[in-house]
Amino acid sequence: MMDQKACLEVAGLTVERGGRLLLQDISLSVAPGEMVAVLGPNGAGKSTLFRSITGEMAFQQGLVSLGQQAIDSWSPLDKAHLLGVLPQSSTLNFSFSVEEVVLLGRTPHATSNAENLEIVTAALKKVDALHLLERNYTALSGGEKQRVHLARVLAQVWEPSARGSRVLLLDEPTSALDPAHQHLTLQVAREFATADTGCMVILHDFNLAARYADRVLVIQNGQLVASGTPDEVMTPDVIHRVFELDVVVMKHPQHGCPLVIT
Amino acid sequence: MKRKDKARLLLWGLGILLPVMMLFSIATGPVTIPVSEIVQVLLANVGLAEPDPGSRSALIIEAIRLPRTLLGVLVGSTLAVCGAAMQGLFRNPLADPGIIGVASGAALGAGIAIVLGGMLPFTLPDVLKAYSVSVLAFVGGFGATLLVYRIGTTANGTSVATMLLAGIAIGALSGAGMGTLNYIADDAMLRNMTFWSMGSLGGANWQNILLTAPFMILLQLLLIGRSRGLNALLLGESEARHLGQNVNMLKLQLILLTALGVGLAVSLAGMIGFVGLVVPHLVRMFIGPDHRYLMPASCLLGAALLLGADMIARVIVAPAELPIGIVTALLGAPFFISLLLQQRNRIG
Repeated sequence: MMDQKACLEVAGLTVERGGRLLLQDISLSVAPGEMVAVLGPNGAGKSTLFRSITGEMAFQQGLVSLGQQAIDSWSPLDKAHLLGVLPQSSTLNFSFSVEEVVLLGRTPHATSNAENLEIVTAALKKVDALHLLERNYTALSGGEKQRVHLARVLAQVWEPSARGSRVLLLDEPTSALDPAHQHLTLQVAREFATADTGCMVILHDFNLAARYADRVLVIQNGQLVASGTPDEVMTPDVIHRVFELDVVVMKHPQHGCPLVIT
Repeated sequence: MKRKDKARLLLWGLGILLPVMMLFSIATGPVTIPVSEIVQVLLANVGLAEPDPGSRSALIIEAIRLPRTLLGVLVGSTLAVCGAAMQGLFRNPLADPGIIGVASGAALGAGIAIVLGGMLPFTLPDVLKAYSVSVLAFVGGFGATLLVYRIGTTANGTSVATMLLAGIAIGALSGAGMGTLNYIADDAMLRNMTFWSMGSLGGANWQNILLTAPFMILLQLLLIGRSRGLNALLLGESEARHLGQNVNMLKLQLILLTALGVGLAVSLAGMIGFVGLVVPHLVRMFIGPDHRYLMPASCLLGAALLLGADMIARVIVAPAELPIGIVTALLGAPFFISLLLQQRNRIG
């Protein structure tokens, strides 16, 4: 598991809050070019894991490294060139235009304005939101907002950096999206997870994880209870144990990945 | 028209409006001075025209109108820029620069100077009296803000929500202090406190301006320099951090700069409400929330509007003078209510 080339590595992560163990001895790694899905019931610790990785939540034990270097040893600016984070929801309530919101993703960069606008356009195109460019952000629907923020995060880590491999952390990026855009979002993430970018995404939909992820991690009560390829992890047994849900797992007739029928 | 073009246009427009307002402000008063004469006097002052030593206008301009106008520019722009910064920091367009306790603390400081200073067994010279009010107002405002910041800050960082509540609590404490001072004050002190709390640009003099202008200009430039950080903050503190901002440092800078700026403004001109609240709002309605344009535009519009309010204050009950805080409240409050109504209708 301790891949030498990992762009994101978590070792023995333990988080405690108010006497409650939120995460217990979690170890994982994401390699460039890899897409890792994190599954788990509500309150299992998925978001805690994300927040510990991004430095928003202090952890008691363990080590988080970004590109072979402890994550808190990066300067905020250098880190921003490598690590793009999409939170579950945003509280933005100022009437920026969509273009301005995505342009905020370019805050860490010293690129020219023309270049930034080009990237903004390309990022919006990727998430099928270019037609929203001039719209008022606050007047968008929940799903449109979610795509705009994804475009913002993509614009942030758009170009390869000399500092190292990039990492995308997406926390439930599909929660407000219609099925077509759920697939589009994960295809975009998949596309980004090329040779130079590692992607870790929290999902609730078994089939989206099965279809797009290289590896699936399952978290339950703050512990990593299963990890492996979708074929290894998405079994009726694991899903029953973790989600208390009886399912049938088949092979997807077209894609060959596991197909979970609830 | 794209927003950015609109923003540029607005900045140009305000850049023209402000000098015009300054000219009007110099021209307006018990003696109306023609613009040609103002220009002549100003040019003479920088050595570009022959001075006219016998001119009465020159005396009025140099001793009274020009310092007053410059004070209006400094105070108006500072209040507006600080207001925009606080609305960004608190991610709330209804925040005003007083939200971090600076106004209530300054009021208490000024009250202490007026009442306790007046109760000293010996009489202070007038100069010292005036300065003690300014200095204590500044100390009170800055001190209250530091207290609010301390309460809101833990090892994990500064909680903006806690600061908001702490600001309310400190405001209530200051209010109790002011009440006590009111209770023990005599009639003259009461009158002084009341006038101070309604603000005035009447105390303008060259000494004050030369002493404070460099700081107030620098503070504004530093705040305007935080525009990109403020934009990122509007997304939320975590998001700003993900975008590479040192959020705790940014918050501390914004709070300190605002406390210093508003503290200086209040110590020079007393309490002037609504400028810090309404001006950024007004600018945002035209060009949106991008602080790279919002901050400089607020600076210019704040200065222009305060000059306008001061002209009204000087003219409307001439030869007497209305406290400027009354004018800004009379103009600002209805405007603010109309904003609220508009927003309410938009939400439905």
